[in-house]
Amino acid sequence: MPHMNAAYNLARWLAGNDADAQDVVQDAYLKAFKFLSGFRGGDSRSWLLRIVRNAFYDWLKRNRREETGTPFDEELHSSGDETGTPETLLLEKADHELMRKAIQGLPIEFREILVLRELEGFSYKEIADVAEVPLGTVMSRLARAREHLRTLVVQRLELK
Amino acid sequence: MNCEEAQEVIHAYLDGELDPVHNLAVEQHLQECTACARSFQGQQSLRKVMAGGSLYFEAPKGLEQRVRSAVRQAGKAESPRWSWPRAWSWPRVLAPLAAAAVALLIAMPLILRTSTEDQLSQEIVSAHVRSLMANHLTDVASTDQHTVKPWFNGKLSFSPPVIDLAVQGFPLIGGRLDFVENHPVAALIYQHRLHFINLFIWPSAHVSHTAEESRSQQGYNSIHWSQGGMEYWAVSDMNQHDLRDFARLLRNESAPHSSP
Repeated sequence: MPHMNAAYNLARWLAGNDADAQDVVQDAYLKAFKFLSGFRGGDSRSWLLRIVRNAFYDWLKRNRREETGTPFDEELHSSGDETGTPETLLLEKADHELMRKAIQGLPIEFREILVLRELEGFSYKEIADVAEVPLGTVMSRLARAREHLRTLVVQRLELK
Repeated sequence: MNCEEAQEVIHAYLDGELDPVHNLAVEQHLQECTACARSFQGQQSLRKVMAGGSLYFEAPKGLEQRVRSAVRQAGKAESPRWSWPRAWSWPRVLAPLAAAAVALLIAMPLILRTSTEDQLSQEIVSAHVRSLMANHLTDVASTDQHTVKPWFNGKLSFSPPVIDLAVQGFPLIGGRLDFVENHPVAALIYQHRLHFINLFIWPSAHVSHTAEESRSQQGYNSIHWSQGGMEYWAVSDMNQHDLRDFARLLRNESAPHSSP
């Protein structure tokens, strides 16, 4: 099956656990199979990930779960950092576990864009296709996602 | 560029999504502003930590098999309405096909993509339209082939044959440097009554001598051939018949003159 890793990675980051992610991926491939005639060429990875994303949101609605992730707090990310430990040095100490938790703690609309960009290496255009939002939204969301992530990571590191 | 503007585009800069002009402006700003430079470095470190693949969730072993059989099941459920030859069960035939179809068709764009010839001819038509719209038909405007030909010296790695066909009704009006498939090519511009013809020339990848091949796209006609180690694409809004005449005249004139 093509793009299985990409599909699972996105689903796993969105759903937050393995079992739900597997359900979402299975749903997505079934839909992909059904909508195959709707595939008009172009990038099949974007096409499939768009289906995965939609399958996830459908799943979310069916299961009526409260979405994980903390709402974005403007106060948090405007904290001044003009003095103190050079942040670069601090950030490089972040390990996978910490990063994983920090990313999982992001609101979902930030998380999905960050995963597509940083882990899947998608261009802004491809992200716009998958998330079905305008290019400008991709840019601004990604910016806010990263600023938010940086704040979360720094906070967790400072608590250590 | 001030800090506010820089912060707006700094992520696009990090991702290599900015145009060259903005890129330069951001670079300059980062050299001048320590606060922005620091936040940029912070983002670079963050990115470094995220890279490396350790955050990527690879599909677990059984998932592929599970999805495959789910798709197969779905194929079985849908196929009975096709059950025409009772002898060999369609579902059994279709089920593996269904799974294979997903695999194949998702990988299809590579195969389905229009042929390179089509893409090339699309690009040629675009270059033609661009030259007319941008009011940039010629870099060197001259009806004299002995002015146009030397103009290309040093601009291209080859010397395009330049032939005037004024007597035959297709006067040369100039030359231009253009890009096709990211390579610099020679563009010669001819006029026929009120129509312009762009003739694109570049060296062939392999020695060939092919017959003319005509196409029509978005109301433009194009004609392509190769001769004497060069590829020729002529494109114009004039009719296919006249364009063929033009190509034929050009081929005759540029053929090595052999005495009988």
